[in-house]
Amino acid sequence: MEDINLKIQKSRGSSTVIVAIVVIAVLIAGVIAFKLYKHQNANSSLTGGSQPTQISSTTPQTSPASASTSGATLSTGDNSDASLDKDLQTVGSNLNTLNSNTSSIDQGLNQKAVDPSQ
Amino acid sequence: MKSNLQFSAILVGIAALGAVTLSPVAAFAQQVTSSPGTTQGANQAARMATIKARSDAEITDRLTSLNSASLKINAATKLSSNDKSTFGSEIQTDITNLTTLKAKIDADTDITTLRADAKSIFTDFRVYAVFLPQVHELAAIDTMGVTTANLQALSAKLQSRIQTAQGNGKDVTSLQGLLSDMNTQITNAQNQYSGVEGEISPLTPASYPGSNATLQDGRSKIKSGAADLKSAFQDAKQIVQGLKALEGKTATSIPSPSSSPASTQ
Repeated sequence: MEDINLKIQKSRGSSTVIVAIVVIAVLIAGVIAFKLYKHQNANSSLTGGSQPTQISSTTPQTSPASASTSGATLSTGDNSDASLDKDLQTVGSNLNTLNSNTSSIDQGLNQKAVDPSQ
Repeated sequence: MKSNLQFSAILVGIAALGAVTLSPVAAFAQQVTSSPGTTQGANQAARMATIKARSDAEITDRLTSLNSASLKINAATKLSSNDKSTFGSEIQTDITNLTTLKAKIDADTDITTLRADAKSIFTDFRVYAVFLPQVHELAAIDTMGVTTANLQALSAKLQSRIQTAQGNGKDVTSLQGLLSDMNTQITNAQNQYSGVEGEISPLTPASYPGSNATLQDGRSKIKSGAADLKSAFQDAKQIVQGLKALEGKTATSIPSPSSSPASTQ
């Protein structure tokens, strides 16, 4: 009888050990799988993106709207004071556009390239 | 003896379970992190990711600038039709080719090829070094042509008004002097910028770095011409004020351009 009890106790002890080891193994596998999943996601966000992650602040800015003002021409035949004032404003606007153009030239020529392959 | 057998069976069971549970994970780990050689492979993958991200950003910047340049060229009214057509189609070609290059870079799997492709953003296009400065100078020349035409039309109107005032017995000596200076400044400006279009139009990406001198010379002439036009504008303002003063009227304030082109030299 004592021998049977001893066997039952040993059998219960072995079952507990097996269950504990299986639980630990599953937990370890879960942690490893989670870490690898995160690592892969981080990589794909860097490599697979067709979306740019960085926009250079040194891009020469152009002003499409300013181009239209340079096309303005003066009215002909009217040399009244009002017309002359309007003409002066038009030429002033032309010169502002020209200032913008020359600034774009400066920006472009002074820009330093950064080689992305390095 | 029986107990030993039982213990061995337990160990075999654990090993089998472990193998079944962990083998796909281990294989996955090897695939992701250590294909060519653990750390080195991971470093190279990270390096490629960085190069791709930078290249994408550089290309996106250029596409934005080229689209803006396209609007400027399309809006130009004084450039030769040949230059408008040539630069307009060149912009579209660059946009197409850069978009294709971006797709290739994103798909590159070899770091040597990737580096060469990334470098070609500069070497094959020279968007910032040659092409956009060319377009900006052409846009400036176009604006100068429009401004010159407007100042010449204004000069004719002022001449008419001065003659009328003279006919009314007014002393127009100083106004006539200002008008003469205005016309001289307009001519000086034309002399500065008129040759620039012909100098810079032939430049290509292959012209780099020799193109720098030509572009700098173009910029210098454009700025000198812009300063001449601004002087002509100041003369015109004074003439208008003088005409109003002769007639006993209050001069209207005309705002000056926001900043002098000459001041940016």
